[in-house]
Amino acid sequence: MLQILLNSIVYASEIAVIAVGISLAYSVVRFANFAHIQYAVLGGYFTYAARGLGLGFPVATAISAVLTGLVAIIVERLVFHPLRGLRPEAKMIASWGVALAFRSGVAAVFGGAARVFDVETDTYLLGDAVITSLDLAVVATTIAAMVVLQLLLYRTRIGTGLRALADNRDLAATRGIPPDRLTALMWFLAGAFAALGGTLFALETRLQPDMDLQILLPVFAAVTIGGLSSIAGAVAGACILSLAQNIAIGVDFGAVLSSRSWFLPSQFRDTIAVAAMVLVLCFRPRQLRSGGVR
Amino acid sequence: MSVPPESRAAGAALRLDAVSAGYGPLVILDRLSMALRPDEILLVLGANGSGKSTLLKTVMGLTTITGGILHKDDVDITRWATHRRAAGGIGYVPQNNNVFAGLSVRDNLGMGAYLQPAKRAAAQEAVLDLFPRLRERLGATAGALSGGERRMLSIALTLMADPAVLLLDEPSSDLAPAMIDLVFAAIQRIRRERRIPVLLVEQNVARGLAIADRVVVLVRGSVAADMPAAAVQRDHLHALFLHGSVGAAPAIQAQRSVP
Repeated sequence: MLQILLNSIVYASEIAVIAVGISLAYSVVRFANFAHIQYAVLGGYFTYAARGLGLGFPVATAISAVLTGLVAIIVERLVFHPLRGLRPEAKMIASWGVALAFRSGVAAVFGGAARVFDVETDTYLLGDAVITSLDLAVVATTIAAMVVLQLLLYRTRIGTGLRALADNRDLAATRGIPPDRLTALMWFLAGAFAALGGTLFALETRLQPDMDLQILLPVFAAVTIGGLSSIAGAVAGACILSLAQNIAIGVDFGAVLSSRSWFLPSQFRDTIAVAAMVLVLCFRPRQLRSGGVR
Repeated sequence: MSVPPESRAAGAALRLDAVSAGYGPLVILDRLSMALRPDEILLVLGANGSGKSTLLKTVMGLTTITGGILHKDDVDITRWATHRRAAGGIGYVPQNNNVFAGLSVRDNLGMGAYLQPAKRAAAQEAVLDLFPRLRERLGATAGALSGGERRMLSIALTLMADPAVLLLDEPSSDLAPAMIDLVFAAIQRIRRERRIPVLLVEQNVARGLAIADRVVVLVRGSVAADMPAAAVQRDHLHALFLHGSVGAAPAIQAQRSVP
Protein backbone atom coordinates (compact mmCIF):
# COMPACT_ATOMS: atom_id res chain seq x y z
CA MET A 1 0.00 0.00 0.00
CA LEU A 2 2.89 2.37 0.77
CA GLN A 3 4.22 1.75 -2.75
CA ILE A 4 0.86 2.72 -4.21
CA LEU A 5 0.89 5.91 -2.15
CA LEU A 6 4.44 6.81 -3.23
CA ASN A 7 3.67 6.12 -6.90
CA SER A 8 0.55 8.26 -6.58
CA ILE A 9 2.50 11.20 -5.14
CA VAL A 10 5.13 11.08 -7.88
CA TYR A 11 2.60 10.77 -10.70
CA ALA A 12 0.38 13.48 -9.16
CA SER A 13 3.41 15.79 -9.07
CA GLU A 14 4.03 15.46 -12.81
CA ILE A 15 0.35 15.94 -13.64
CA ALA A 16 -0.22 18.81 -11.21
CA VAL A 17 2.53 21.06 -12.61
CA ILE A 18 1.05 20.77 -16.10
CA ALA A 19 -2.55 21.04 -14.87
CA VAL A 20 -2.08 24.31 -12.96
CA GLY A 21 -1.08 25.99 -16.24
CA ILE A 22 -4.39 25.00 -17.81
CA SER A 23 -6.28 26.29 -14.77
CA LEU A 24 -4.34 29.55 -14.76
CA ALA A 25 -5.08 30.14 -18.44
CA TYR A 26 -8.73 29.13 -18.10
CA SER A 27 -9.27 31.49 -15.18
CA VAL A 28 -8.16 34.47 -17.28
CA VAL A 29 -9.18 33.67 -20.87
CA ARG A 30 -12.09 31.30 -20.15
CA PHE A 31 -11.27 28.46 -22.51
CA ALA A 32 -9.47 25.17 -22.09
CA ASN A 33 -6.27 25.35 -24.11
CA PHE A 34 -5.50 21.98 -25.67
CA ALA A 35 -2.20 23.33 -27.02
CA HIS A 36 -1.05 23.42 -23.41
CA ILE A 37 -0.23 19.72 -23.61
CA GLN A 38 2.05 20.43 -26.58
CA TYR A 39 3.79 23.15 -24.55
CA ALA A 40 4.62 20.36 -22.07
CA VAL A 41 6.03 18.15 -24.85
CA LEU A 42 7.93 21.07 -26.36
CA GLY A 43 9.29 21.94 -22.93
CA GLY A 44 10.57 18.41 -22.54
CA TYR A 45 12.41 18.68 -25.87
CA PHE A 46 13.80 22.14 -25.03
CA THR A 47 15.22 20.73 -21.81
CA TYR A 48 16.67 17.78 -23.72
CA ALA A 49 18.25 20.12 -26.28
CA ALA A 50 19.69 22.35 -23.55
CA ARG A 51 21.09 19.27 -21.82
CA GLY A 52 22.70 18.41 -25.15
CA LEU A 53 24.64 21.67 -24.90
CA GLY A 54 26.17 20.41 -21.68
CA LEU A 55 23.99 22.42 -19.30
CA GLY A 56 23.00 21.07 -15.89
CA PHE A 57 19.41 20.01 -15.27
CA PRO A 58 18.28 23.06 -13.28
CA VAL A 59 19.66 25.50 -15.87
CA ALA A 60 18.40 23.45 -18.82
CA THR A 61 14.93 23.25 -17.28
CA ALA A 62 14.90 26.98 -16.49
CA ILE A 63 15.87 27.82 -20.09
CA SER A 64 13.19 25.45 -21.35
CA ALA A 65 10.58 27.09 -19.10
CA VAL A 66 11.49 30.57 -20.35
CA LEU A 67 11.49 29.51 -24.01
CA THR A 68 8.18 27.67 -23.72
CA GLY A 69 6.69 30.64 -21.87
CA LEU A 70 7.71 32.87 -24.77
CA VAL A 71 6.24 30.38 -27.25
CA ALA A 72 2.94 30.53 -25.33
CA ILE A 73 2.98 34.35 -25.58
CA ILE A 74 3.67 34.18 -29.33
CA VAL A 75 0.79 31.71 -29.85
CA GLU A 76 -1.47 34.07 -27.88
CA ARG A 77 -0.49 37.05 -30.05
CA LEU A 78 -0.80 35.16 -33.35
CA VAL A 79 -3.83 32.98 -32.68
CA PHE A 80 -5.81 33.54 -29.50
CA HIS A 81 -5.67 37.34 -29.31
CA PRO A 82 -7.13 37.83 -32.82
CA LEU A 83 -9.87 35.33 -31.89
CA ARG A 84 -10.66 36.93 -28.53
CA GLY A 85 -14.17 37.97 -29.60
CA LEU A 86 -15.20 34.40 -30.41
CA ARG A 87 -17.00 31.98 -28.14
CA PRO A 88 -14.90 29.78 -25.83
CA GLU A 89 -15.80 26.68 -27.85
CA ALA A 90 -14.34 28.23 -31.01
CA LYS A 91 -11.13 29.14 -29.20
CA MET A 92 -10.91 25.65 -27.78
CA ILE A 93 -11.15 24.18 -31.29
CA ALA A 94 -8.53 26.67 -32.48
CA SER A 95 -6.28 25.50 -29.63
CA TRP A 96 -6.72 21.95 -30.87
CA GLY A 97 -5.49 23.12 -34.28
CA VAL A 98 -2.48 24.76 -32.66
CA ALA A 99 -1.82 21.49 -30.79
CA LEU A 100 -1.83 19.49 -34.03
CA ALA A 101 0.55 21.97 -35.66
CA PHE A 102 2.93 21.72 -32.71
CA ARG A 103 2.69 17.93 -32.73
CA SER A 104 3.77 17.77 -36.36
CA GLY A 105 6.42 20.43 -35.80
CA VAL A 106 8.02 18.61 -32.85
CA ALA A 107 8.10 15.33 -34.77
CA ALA A 108 9.60 17.04 -37.83
CA VAL A 109 12.33 18.84 -35.87
CA PHE A 110 13.24 16.26 -33.24
CA GLY A 111 12.29 13.04 -35.05
CA GLY A 112 9.84 10.36 -34.02
CA ALA A 113 12.25 8.20 -32.01
CA ALA A 114 11.94 8.08 -28.24
CA ARG A 115 14.72 9.71 -26.23
CA VAL A 116 15.64 9.05 -22.66
CA PHE A 117 17.16 11.59 -20.30
CA ASP A 118 20.55 10.51 -19.09
CA VAL A 119 20.13 10.58 -15.32
CA GLU A 120 21.70 8.48 -12.62
CA THR A 121 19.32 7.57 -9.86
CA ASP A 122 19.76 6.04 -6.45
CA THR A 123 17.17 3.69 -5.05
CA TYR A 124 15.91 3.78 -1.49
CA LEU A 125 13.84 1.26 0.41
CA LEU A 126 11.04 2.44 2.68
CA GLY A 127 9.81 -0.73 4.33
CA ASP A 128 8.84 -2.87 1.36
CA ALA A 129 8.34 0.16 -0.90
CA VAL A 130 10.90 1.54 -3.34
CA ILE A 131 11.54 5.18 -4.19
CA THR A 132 14.29 6.66 -6.32
CA SER A 133 16.26 9.87 -5.98
CA LEU A 134 14.62 10.97 -9.24
CA ASP A 135 11.17 10.49 -7.69
CA LEU A 136 12.22 12.61 -4.73
CA ALA A 137 13.60 15.30 -7.04
CA VAL A 138 10.37 15.34 -9.07
CA VAL A 139 8.22 15.73 -5.94
CA ALA A 140 10.54 18.37 -4.42
CA THR A 141 10.59 20.35 -7.68
CA THR A 142 6.81 20.26 -7.87
CA ILE A 143 6.41 21.45 -4.28
CA ALA A 144 8.92 24.26 -4.88
CA ALA A 145 7.15 25.29 -8.09
CA MET A 146 3.77 25.37 -6.33
CA VAL A 147 5.16 27.45 -3.46
CA VAL A 148 6.67 29.93 -5.95
CA LEU A 149 3.36 30.17 -7.84
CA GLN A 150 1.44 30.64 -4.61
CA LEU A 151 3.80 33.39 -3.45
CA LEU A 152 3.63 35.07 -6.83
CA LEU A 153 -0.17 35.06 -6.92
CA TYR A 154 -0.81 35.95 -3.29
CA ARG A 155 2.19 37.98 -2.17
CA THR A 156 3.03 40.20 -5.13
CA ARG A 157 1.23 43.15 -6.67
CA ILE A 158 1.37 41.65 -10.15
CA GLY A 159 0.08 38.31 -8.88
CA THR A 160 -2.85 39.99 -7.15
CA GLY A 161 -3.42 41.91 -10.38
CA LEU A 162 -3.57 38.59 -12.22
CA ARG A 163 -6.13 37.29 -9.75
CA ALA A 164 -8.10 40.52 -10.13
CA LEU A 165 -8.01 40.12 -13.92
CA ALA A 166 -9.30 36.55 -13.59
CA ASP A 167 -12.00 37.70 -11.18
CA ASN A 168 -13.37 40.61 -13.22
CA ARG A 169 -11.56 41.71 -16.38
CA ASP A 170 -13.51 44.94 -16.99
CA LEU A 171 -13.22 46.06 -13.39
CA ALA A 172 -9.49 45.30 -13.45
CA ALA A 173 -9.08 47.56 -16.49
CA THR A 174 -10.99 50.34 -14.74
CA ARG A 175 -8.46 50.09 -11.90
CA GLY A 176 -5.64 50.79 -14.35
CA ILE A 177 -4.51 47.18 -14.60
CA PRO A 178 -3.33 46.62 -18.20
CA PRO A 179 -5.26 43.48 -19.25
CA ASP A 180 -3.17 42.56 -22.30
CA ARG A 181 0.16 42.84 -20.45
CA LEU A 182 -1.04 40.72 -17.54
CA THR A 183 -2.63 38.21 -19.92
CA ALA A 184 0.78 37.86 -21.59
CA LEU A 185 2.33 37.25 -18.17
CA MET A 186 -0.30 34.60 -17.50
CA TRP A 187 0.55 32.83 -20.78
CA PHE A 188 4.22 32.97 -19.92
CA LEU A 189 3.59 31.35 -16.54
CA ALA A 190 1.31 28.71 -18.09
CA GLY A 191 3.92 27.86 -20.72
CA ALA A 192 6.73 27.76 -18.18
CA PHE A 193 4.79 25.42 -15.88
CA ALA A 194 3.89 23.20 -18.84
CA ALA A 195 7.59 22.98 -19.76
CA LEU A 196 8.53 22.09 -16.21
CA GLY A 197 5.79 19.46 -16.01
CA GLY A 198 6.69 18.05 -19.42
CA THR A 199 10.31 17.74 -18.35
CA LEU A 200 9.36 15.95 -15.12
CA PHE A 201 7.06 13.64 -17.05
CA ALA A 202 9.74 12.83 -19.63
CA LEU A 203 12.30 12.25 -16.86
CA GLU A 204 10.09 9.61 -15.29
CA THR A 205 9.17 8.00 -18.62
CA ARG A 206 10.77 9.00 -21.92
CA LEU A 207 10.62 11.80 -24.43
CA GLN A 208 8.69 11.19 -27.63
CA PRO A 209 6.44 13.30 -29.85
CA ASP A 210 3.33 11.27 -28.95
CA MET A 211 3.83 11.58 -25.20
CA ASP A 212 1.05 14.15 -25.42
CA LEU A 213 -1.40 11.23 -25.54
CA GLN A 214 -0.14 10.04 -22.17
CA ILE A 215 -0.45 13.53 -20.69
CA LEU A 216 -3.69 14.76 -22.23
CA LEU A 217 -6.26 12.62 -20.43
CA PRO A 218 -4.88 12.66 -16.89
CA VAL A 219 -4.18 16.40 -17.02
CA PHE A 220 -7.63 17.32 -18.30
CA ALA A 221 -9.22 14.85 -15.89
CA ALA A 222 -7.33 16.51 -13.02
CA VAL A 223 -8.44 20.05 -13.95
CA THR A 224 -12.01 18.84 -14.52
CA ILE A 225 -12.11 17.22 -11.09
CA GLY A 226 -10.62 20.37 -9.55
CA GLY A 227 -12.93 22.83 -11.27
CA LEU A 228 -11.06 24.20 -14.32
CA SER A 229 -10.19 27.65 -13.01
CA SER A 230 -8.92 26.62 -9.59
CA ILE A 231 -5.18 26.14 -9.15
CA ALA A 232 -5.62 24.47 -5.77
CA GLY A 233 -8.36 22.38 -7.37
CA ALA A 234 -6.03 21.29 -10.17
CA VAL A 235 -3.48 20.09 -7.61
CA ALA A 236 -6.20 18.32 -5.60
CA GLY A 237 -7.60 16.85 -8.81
CA ALA A 238 -4.15 15.53 -9.77
CA CYS A 239 -3.79 13.89 -6.35
CA ILE A 240 -7.26 12.32 -6.42
CA LEU A 241 -6.85 11.08 -9.98
CA SER A 242 -3.37 9.71 -9.38
CA LEU A 243 -4.48 7.89 -6.25
CA ALA A 244 -7.52 6.44 -8.04
CA GLN A 245 -5.41 5.26 -10.98
CA ASN A 246 -2.67 3.76 -8.84
CA ILE A 247 -5.12 2.00 -6.53
CA ALA A 248 -7.07 0.65 -9.51
CA ILE A 249 -4.03 -0.84 -11.19
CA GLY A 250 -1.90 -1.49 -8.10
CA VAL A 251 -4.25 -3.41 -5.83
CA ASP A 252 -4.46 -7.17 -6.13
CA PHE A 253 -8.23 -7.45 -6.47
CA GLY A 254 -7.98 -11.22 -7.02
CA ALA A 255 -6.38 -11.75 -3.62
CA VAL A 256 -9.15 -9.72 -2.00
CA LEU A 257 -11.89 -11.99 -3.40
CA SER A 258 -10.09 -15.33 -3.71
CA SER A 259 -6.68 -16.96 -3.42
CA ARG A 260 -5.82 -16.15 -7.04
CA SER A 261 -3.94 -12.98 -7.82
CA TRP A 262 -5.59 -10.59 -10.31
CA PHE A 263 -4.65 -7.00 -11.16
CA LEU A 264 -6.53 -4.59 -13.41
CA PRO A 265 -4.38 -4.30 -16.57
CA SER A 266 -2.44 -1.03 -16.59
CA GLN A 267 -3.95 -0.15 -19.97
CA PHE A 268 -7.06 0.80 -17.99
CA ARG A 269 -5.22 3.77 -16.49
CA ASP A 270 -6.83 6.15 -19.01
CA THR A 271 -10.23 4.56 -18.51
CA ILE A 272 -10.02 5.53 -14.84
CA ALA A 273 -9.24 9.12 -15.89
CA VAL A 274 -12.21 9.25 -18.26
CA ALA A 275 -14.49 7.66 -15.66
CA ALA A 276 -13.42 10.25 -13.08
CA MET A 277 -14.05 13.06 -15.56
CA VAL A 278 -17.51 11.70 -16.46
CA LEU A 279 -18.44 11.35 -12.79
CA VAL A 280 -17.43 14.95 -12.11
CA LEU A 281 -19.26 16.27 -15.16
CA CYS A 282 -22.39 14.41 -14.05
CA PHE A 283 -22.39 15.43 -10.42
CA ARG A 284 -20.50 18.72 -10.11
CA PRO A 285 -21.28 20.85 -13.20
CA ARG A 286 -21.53 24.03 -11.06
CA GLN A 287 -17.86 23.69 -10.14
CA LEU A 288 -16.91 24.12 -13.79
CA ARG A 289 -18.51 27.51 -14.05
CA SER A 290 -16.84 29.10 -11.08
CA GLY A 291 -14.49 31.98 -11.86
CA GLY A 292 -11.28 33.51 -10.56
CA VAL A 293 -7.88 32.08 -9.73
CA ARG A 294 -8.10 30.24 -6.45
CA MET B 1 -20.14 69.93 -37.06
CA SER B 2 -21.82 72.41 -34.74
CA VAL B 3 -20.96 71.96 -31.09
CA PRO B 4 -23.77 72.54 -28.59
CA PRO B 5 -23.13 75.28 -26.03
CA GLU B 6 -22.91 72.93 -23.01
CA SER B 7 -19.97 71.09 -24.54
CA ARG B 8 -17.93 74.27 -24.96
CA ALA B 9 -17.53 74.78 -21.22
CA ALA B 10 -14.04 76.12 -20.70
CA GLY B 11 -11.83 74.07 -18.42
CA ALA B 12 -14.34 71.23 -18.18
CA ALA B 13 -13.14 68.15 -16.33
CA LEU B 14 -14.90 66.01 -18.92
CA ARG B 15 -16.37 67.03 -22.24
CA LEU B 16 -18.30 64.97 -24.74
CA ASP B 17 -18.74 66.44 -28.21
CA ALA B 18 -21.44 64.68 -30.27
CA VAL B 19 -20.41 61.27 -28.95
CA SER B 20 -22.14 58.21 -30.35
CA ALA B 21 -21.43 54.92 -28.62
CA GLY B 22 -22.88 51.54 -27.80
CA TYR B 23 -22.21 47.84 -27.75
CA GLY B 24 -21.15 46.37 -31.08
CA PRO B 25 -23.81 47.25 -33.65
CA LEU B 26 -26.20 48.55 -30.96
CA VAL B 27 -25.80 52.33 -30.68
CA ILE B 28 -27.11 53.76 -27.39
CA LEU B 29 -25.62 57.26 -27.15
CA ASP B 30 -26.68 59.40 -30.09
CA ARG B 31 -24.41 62.39 -30.75
CA LEU B 32 -24.45 63.24 -27.07
CA SER B 33 -22.81 66.48 -25.99
CA MET B 34 -22.25 67.57 -22.42
CA ALA B 35 -19.59 68.77 -20.01
CA LEU B 36 -18.71 68.06 -16.40
CA ARG B 37 -17.34 71.15 -14.67
CA PRO B 38 -14.67 71.03 -11.98
CA ASP B 39 -16.04 70.68 -8.42
CA GLU B 40 -19.63 69.94 -9.41
CA ILE B 41 -21.89 66.99 -8.81
CA LEU B 42 -23.73 66.48 -12.08
CA LEU B 43 -26.78 64.25 -11.78
CA VAL B 44 -27.73 62.27 -14.88
CA LEU B 45 -31.42 61.37 -15.02
CA GLY B 46 -33.46 59.50 -17.58
CA ALA B 47 -35.80 56.60 -18.11
CA ASN B 48 -34.54 53.03 -18.31
CA GLY B 49 -32.66 52.54 -21.54
CA SER B 50 -32.00 56.27 -22.04
CA GLY B 51 -28.25 55.66 -21.91
CA LYS B 52 -27.29 56.78 -18.40
CA SER B 53 -25.08 53.83 -17.53
CA THR B 54 -23.80 53.67 -21.09
CA LEU B 55 -22.67 57.29 -20.71
CA LEU B 56 -20.48 56.36 -17.73
CA LYS B 57 -19.18 53.24 -19.45
CA THR B 58 -18.35 55.29 -22.52
CA VAL B 59 -16.35 57.77 -20.46
CA MET B 60 -14.52 54.78 -18.94
CA GLY B 61 -13.86 53.20 -22.34
CA LEU B 62 -16.08 50.16 -21.89
CA THR B 63 -18.23 50.73 -24.99
CA THR B 64 -17.55 51.12 -28.69
CA ILE B 65 -17.37 54.81 -29.62
CA THR B 66 -18.56 55.25 -33.20
CA GLY B 67 -18.46 59.03 -33.42
CA GLY B 68 -17.60 62.28 -31.66
CA ILE B 69 -14.80 63.29 -29.33
CA LEU B 70 -14.31 62.74 -25.62
CA HIS B 71 -12.03 65.13 -23.72
CA LYS B 72 -10.64 65.00 -20.21
CA ASP B 73 -9.06 68.30 -19.18
CA ASP B 74 -8.97 69.26 -22.87
CA VAL B 75 -7.00 66.12 -23.80
CA ASP B 76 -8.65 63.92 -26.44
CA ILE B 77 -9.07 60.50 -24.81
CA THR B 78 -11.57 59.10 -27.32
CA ARG B 79 -9.25 56.27 -28.42
CA TRP B 80 -7.66 55.56 -25.05
CA ALA B 81 -8.00 52.06 -23.61
CA THR B 82 -9.83 51.68 -20.30
CA HIS B 83 -6.73 51.14 -18.17
CA ARG B 84 -5.13 54.25 -19.64
CA ARG B 85 -8.20 56.34 -18.77
CA ALA B 86 -7.98 55.02 -15.22
CA ALA B 87 -4.32 56.00 -15.12
CA GLY B 88 -5.39 59.40 -16.46
CA GLY B 89 -7.51 60.02 -13.35
CA ILE B 90 -10.98 58.71 -14.19
CA GLY B 91 -12.49 56.73 -11.32
CA TYR B 92 -15.54 54.60 -12.08
CA VAL B 93 -17.86 52.82 -9.65
CA PRO B 94 -20.11 50.44 -11.64
CA GLN B 95 -23.57 49.54 -10.40
CA ASN B 96 -22.92 45.79 -10.48
CA ASN B 97 -19.84 43.59 -10.39
CA ASN B 98 -18.04 46.47 -8.77
CA VAL B 99 -15.67 44.57 -6.48
CA PHE B 100 -13.28 41.66 -7.03
CA ALA B 101 -15.55 39.10 -5.35
CA GLY B 102 -12.88 36.41 -5.03
CA LEU B 103 -10.28 38.71 -3.45
CA SER B 104 -10.10 39.89 0.15
CA VAL B 105 -11.16 43.43 1.04
CA ARG B 106 -7.48 44.23 1.62
CA ASP B 107 -6.49 42.94 -1.83
CA ASN B 108 -9.39 44.82 -3.39
CA LEU B 109 -8.07 48.05 -1.89
CA GLY B 110 -4.60 47.08 -3.09
CA MET B 111 -5.93 46.74 -6.61
CA GLY B 112 -7.45 50.20 -6.27
CA ALA B 113 -3.93 51.51 -5.69
CA TYR B 114 -2.41 49.29 -8.40
CA LEU B 115 -0.96 52.27 -10.23
CA GLN B 116 0.41 53.96 -7.12
CA PRO B 117 1.66 51.23 -4.78
CA ALA B 118 3.85 53.69 -2.86
CA LYS B 119 0.78 55.70 -1.83
CA ARG B 120 -1.24 52.65 -0.85
CA ALA B 121 -0.90 52.92 2.93
CA ALA B 122 -1.97 56.57 3.08
CA ALA B 123 -4.77 56.05 0.56
CA GLN B 124 -6.04 53.05 2.52
CA GLU B 125 -6.13 55.02 5.77
CA ALA B 126 -8.12 57.76 4.03
CA VAL B 127 -10.77 55.40 2.63
CA LEU B 128 -11.01 53.47 5.92
CA ASP B 129 -11.59 56.80 7.63
CA LEU B 130 -14.41 57.42 5.16
CA PHE B 131 -15.85 53.89 5.62
CA PRO B 132 -14.73 52.69 9.10
CA ARG B 133 -16.83 49.53 8.73
CA LEU B 134 -14.43 48.20 6.13
CA ARG B 135 -11.58 48.27 8.64
CA GLU B 136 -13.14 45.33 10.52
CA ARG B 137 -13.63 43.44 7.26
CA LEU B 138 -10.16 43.78 5.73
CA GLY B 139 -9.51 40.03 5.84
CA ALA B 140 -12.95 39.04 4.55
CA THR B 141 -13.55 37.92 0.98
CA ALA B 142 -15.36 40.69 -0.89
CA GLY B 143 -17.96 38.22 -2.16
CA ALA B 144 -19.00 37.55 1.44
CA LEU B 145 -19.78 41.21 2.23
CA SER B 146 -23.30 42.56 2.64
CA GLY B 147 -24.73 44.70 -0.17
CA GLY B 148 -23.98 47.91 1.74
CA GLU B 149 -20.44 46.88 2.62
CA ARG B 150 -19.84 45.92 -0.97
CA ARG B 151 -21.03 49.33 -2.15
CA MET B 152 -18.69 51.00 0.34
CA LEU B 153 -15.83 48.85 -0.88
CA SER B 154 -16.57 49.64 -4.51
CA ILE B 155 -16.35 53.37 -3.80
CA ALA B 156 -13.33 52.92 -1.52
CA LEU B 157 -11.30 50.94 -4.03
CA THR B 158 -12.04 53.55 -6.68
CA LEU B 159 -10.86 56.32 -4.34
CA MET B 160 -7.64 54.39 -3.65
CA ALA B 161 -6.37 55.57 -7.03
CA ASP B 162 -6.98 59.22 -6.04
CA PRO B 163 -9.10 59.94 -9.13
CA ALA B 164 -9.51 63.42 -10.60
CA VAL B 165 -13.06 62.63 -11.74
CA LEU B 166 -15.55 60.26 -10.15
CA LEU B 167 -18.23 58.38 -12.10
CA LEU B 168 -20.91 56.80 -9.89
CA ASP B 169 -23.51 54.45 -11.32
CA GLU B 170 -26.63 54.04 -9.17
CA PRO B 171 -24.93 54.17 -5.76
CA SER B 172 -28.27 53.73 -3.92
CA SER B 173 -29.57 50.71 -5.82
CA ASP B 174 -30.57 47.70 -3.71
CA LEU B 175 -29.56 49.43 -0.46
CA ALA B 176 -31.57 49.92 2.74
CA PRO B 177 -32.42 53.58 3.55
CA ALA B 178 -29.87 53.81 6.37
CA MET B 179 -27.15 52.56 4.06
CA ILE B 180 -28.21 55.02 1.36
CA ASP B 181 -27.81 57.82 3.92
CA LEU B 182 -24.32 56.61 4.68
CA VAL B 183 -23.30 56.31 1.02
CA PHE B 184 -24.66 59.71 0.06
CA ALA B 185 -23.04 61.35 3.06
CA ALA B 186 -19.77 59.79 1.88
CA ILE B 187 -20.26 61.17 -1.65
CA GLN B 188 -20.76 64.66 -0.24
CA ARG B 189 -17.69 64.26 1.95
CA ILE B 190 -15.63 63.07 -1.02
CA ARG B 191 -16.66 66.11 -3.00
CA ARG B 192 -16.00 68.45 -0.06
CA GLU B 193 -12.61 67.05 0.95
CA ARG B 194 -11.18 65.95 -2.38
CA ARG B 195 -12.79 68.68 -4.47
CA ILE B 196 -13.33 66.40 -7.44
CA PRO B 197 -16.26 66.53 -9.85
CA VAL B 198 -18.77 63.69 -9.72
CA LEU B 199 -20.85 62.40 -12.61
CA LEU B 200 -23.72 60.70 -10.81
CA VAL B 201 -26.29 58.38 -12.35
CA GLU B 202 -29.10 57.80 -9.86
CA GLN B 203 -32.64 56.44 -10.16
CA ASN B 204 -33.51 57.80 -6.73
CA VAL B 205 -34.26 61.32 -8.00
CA ALA B 206 -34.89 62.90 -4.59
CA ARG B 207 -31.62 61.59 -3.17
CA GLY B 208 -29.70 62.64 -6.24
CA LEU B 209 -31.19 66.12 -6.37
CA ALA B 210 -30.39 66.65 -2.69
CA ILE B 211 -26.66 66.57 -3.37
CA ALA B 212 -26.39 67.57 -7.06
CA ASP B 213 -25.43 70.99 -8.38
CA ARG B 214 -26.69 70.43 -11.89
CA VAL B 215 -28.88 67.94 -13.72
CA VAL B 216 -28.90 66.61 -17.26
CA VAL B 217 -31.77 64.49 -18.54
CA LEU B 218 -31.11 61.89 -21.18
CA VAL B 219 -33.71 60.79 -23.68
CA ARG B 220 -32.81 58.10 -26.19
CA GLY B 221 -29.10 58.68 -25.79
CA SER B 222 -29.07 62.47 -26.09
CA VAL B 223 -29.18 65.32 -23.60
CA ALA B 224 -32.79 66.54 -23.54
CA ALA B 225 -32.40 69.01 -20.70
CA ASP B 226 -29.60 70.62 -18.70
CA MET B 227 -30.37 72.78 -15.67
CA PRO B 228 -29.32 73.66 -12.13
CA ALA B 229 -30.52 71.08 -9.63
CA ALA B 230 -32.35 73.75 -7.66
CA ALA B 231 -34.47 74.60 -10.69
CA VAL B 232 -35.77 71.09 -11.25
CA GLN B 233 -39.50 70.63 -10.93
CA ARG B 234 -40.15 66.99 -10.29
CA ASP B 235 -43.53 66.93 -12.05
CA HIS B 236 -41.88 67.98 -15.27
CA LEU B 237 -39.13 65.42 -14.92
CA HIS B 238 -41.75 62.77 -14.57
CA ALA B 239 -43.45 63.93 -17.75
CA LEU B 240 -40.14 63.98 -19.57
CA PHE B 241 -39.31 60.43 -18.51
CA LEU B 242 -42.77 59.27 -19.47
CA HIS B 243 -43.12 60.84 -22.89
CA GLY B 244 -39.51 60.69 -23.88
CA SER B 245 -39.43 64.11 -25.45
CA VAL B 246 -38.58 67.59 -24.33
CA GLY B 247 -41.82 68.80 -25.83
CA ALA B 248 -43.69 66.95 -23.13
CA ALA B 249 -42.04 69.06 -20.46
CA PRO B 250 -42.12 72.72 -21.51
CA ALA B 251 -41.25 74.06 -18.08
CA ILE B 252 -37.92 72.32 -18.17
CA GLN B 253 -37.08 73.70 -21.59
CA ALA B 254 -37.83 77.16 -20.32
CA GLN B 255 -35.46 76.68 -17.41
CA ARG B 256 -32.69 75.13 -19.42
CA SER B 257 -29.41 76.66 -18.39
CA VAL B 258 -26.64 77.77 -20.70
CA PRO B 259 -23.20 77.39 -19.16
